[in-house]
Amino acid sequence: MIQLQNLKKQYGSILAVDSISLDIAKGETFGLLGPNGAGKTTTINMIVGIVKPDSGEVRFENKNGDFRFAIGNTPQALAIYEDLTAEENLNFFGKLYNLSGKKLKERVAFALDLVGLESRKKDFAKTFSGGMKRRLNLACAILHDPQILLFDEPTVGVDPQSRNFIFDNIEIMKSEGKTIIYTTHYMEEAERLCDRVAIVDKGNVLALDTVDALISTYGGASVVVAELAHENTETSSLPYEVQGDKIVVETTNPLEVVQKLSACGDTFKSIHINRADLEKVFLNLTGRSLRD
Amino acid sequence: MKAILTLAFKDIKLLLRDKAGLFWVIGFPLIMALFFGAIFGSSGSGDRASIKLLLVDEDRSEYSIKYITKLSAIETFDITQVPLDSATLLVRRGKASAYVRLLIGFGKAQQQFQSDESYIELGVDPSRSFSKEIIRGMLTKVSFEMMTDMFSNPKDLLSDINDDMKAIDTSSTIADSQKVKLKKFFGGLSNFLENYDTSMMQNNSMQEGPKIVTKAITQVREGPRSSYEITFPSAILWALIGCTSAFAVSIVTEKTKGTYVRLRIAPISRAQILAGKGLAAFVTIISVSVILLVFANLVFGVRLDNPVKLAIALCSSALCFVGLMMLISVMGKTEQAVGGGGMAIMLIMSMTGGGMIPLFAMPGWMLTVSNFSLVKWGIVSLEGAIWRGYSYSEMILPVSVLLGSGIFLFVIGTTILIKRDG
Repeated sequence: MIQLQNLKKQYGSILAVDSISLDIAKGETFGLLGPNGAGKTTTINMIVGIVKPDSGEVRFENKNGDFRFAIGNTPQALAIYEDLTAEENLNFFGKLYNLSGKKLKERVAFALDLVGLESRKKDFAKTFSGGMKRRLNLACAILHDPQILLFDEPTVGVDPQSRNFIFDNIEIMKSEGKTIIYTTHYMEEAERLCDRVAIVDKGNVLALDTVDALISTYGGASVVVAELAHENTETSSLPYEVQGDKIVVETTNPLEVVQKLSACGDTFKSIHINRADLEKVFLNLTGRSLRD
Repeated sequence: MKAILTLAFKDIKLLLRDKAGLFWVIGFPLIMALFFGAIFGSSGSGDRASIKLLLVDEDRSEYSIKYITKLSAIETFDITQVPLDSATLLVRRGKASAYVRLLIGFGKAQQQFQSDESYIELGVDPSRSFSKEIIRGMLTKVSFEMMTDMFSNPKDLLSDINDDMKAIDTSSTIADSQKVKLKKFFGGLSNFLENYDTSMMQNNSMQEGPKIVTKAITQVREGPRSSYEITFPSAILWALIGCTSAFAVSIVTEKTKGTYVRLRIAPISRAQILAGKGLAAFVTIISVSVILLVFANLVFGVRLDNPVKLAIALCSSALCFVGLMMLISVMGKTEQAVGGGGMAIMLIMSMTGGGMIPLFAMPGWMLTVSNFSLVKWGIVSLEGAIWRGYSYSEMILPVSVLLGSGIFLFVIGTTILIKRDG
């Protein structure tokens, strides 16, 4: 559906994107996961054509006519007019996509309903909360029913309610077969929404695969933490070494550890399995945390 | 075109909702026009307290000299005696309100109460009906005073009657029988005047005044009729400055707020985005200018006699400032930088171009400097259409400067903008 071939972009001495090549399939939800400054937004801007790459190219499958009609973008910065109402914002952007009359009215109603702003459509965007503005931002992107949707950090500064709203909306669009490119530095979002994730840092793709494959390849062992119910004097009966009142075991087979603990006859306050996640993947790949 | 109209309509809507922006676009220019119009008006360029009256004494009689002396004593008049041709010229040029011409025979006719023929000519512009009536009233008043004086001092009249009786005696054209009747009449009159109680005339009034013929001298309008014809063109330039600043900042705001990204992603060209901005600025400038001009016309009688020339002046000024807007919008990357820098440039242009000090009041060196200000050319083109009476060929210079500068600035501005966009 979308092919990025050796995309490169440099701003002065800063190399924002360094030869990124990606192949995104139709109907796929593709994640770009990386810390701030990794080059995610620059990549998105090169895909939508507002930043010209120094080298490389972006290819769209079935690029008939103006490809911009097929793209809906939710920029990281809120791209809405605060002195227009929610409805006026959508009407304005809809007209730029050649929507008019009944069709425009229907699409505006659909978009407002989808993001839950129908009851606030006559209110100025400046009266909205941060989360509501994000939802309006998203509504502007889906208004013209594009096949490709780009979400650039859509949940930054959003309250939990709006965050869930956005996730639900994206899942609906995913179920409709839209191709989605989603950038984030929250690994939970990538894990929840994305079919495949590219881990990017300093303009490079460090790893690219499904979430499970990335974790199993780069995540390392899981950690089982068992908290003893009482002070154990007879530590020899336990299969693992006790550190204070806890047992901490690093393992690639956490279920086996849990079984051994339950079979030892001792009682525990709690047993947790800390499975390796994308955070760990990033840490293992770069030596830094995603939030650094 | 539809996309451009959509973009322009959105920008105009946003401006209308921005109360502070709207104040600078229309409120502030209107205040400037009213304030400076009132100041200039009260400092003497409006209706004067005294009427400048020219006197042409062709009679040069003792009576006419006394008449003029009495007329000069009236505070309402600022009187100067000039020959007829000068008087006509000065009234036509608007340097004087009117002239009063005392024709040969004026004194004699007045003294003999001849009212069938006029010996006073009042030359005045037909539009100055108020001044005309004041002058007529004052001329009549002085005539009555002269008559009163005459009857109050019958010796002068008696001397005239004696002269007349001698003239009748020596006349060869009057029949003898008629001479007898006339001498009887003048003898009776002479007798009446010798025994007349002069105090009776002090409070008496005549039924009819002197016959005054009015001659229309149409004034050639070489200057502004009122101070508002100077301040409103300046106000329109202030409105242009306000619009330019507002839309220049709005281009940066689109960038800083992120909406420019969405516009760039939309299936419209960059040229359409810029054309939309330009159209919004142009429509706003023209609308605000028309509002100001109509207000000025209805309230202060500012002339809109030549709508075609006014339209040319307004459109060229608007296009010029749209170009300036594009250049100012790329002067910085934040609203503060563009707003501040733009306002600094435009204040200098306004100061040197007649936005603050009227062009006619500028010293020579400042007029030379003003040639570099687009505000000056905007004001000159508007004044040319309003009161300077410019012909189309005279309009070519200011309009060419405005259009040329506008296109030049627009090209530079858009080139920088496109380069920055990458």
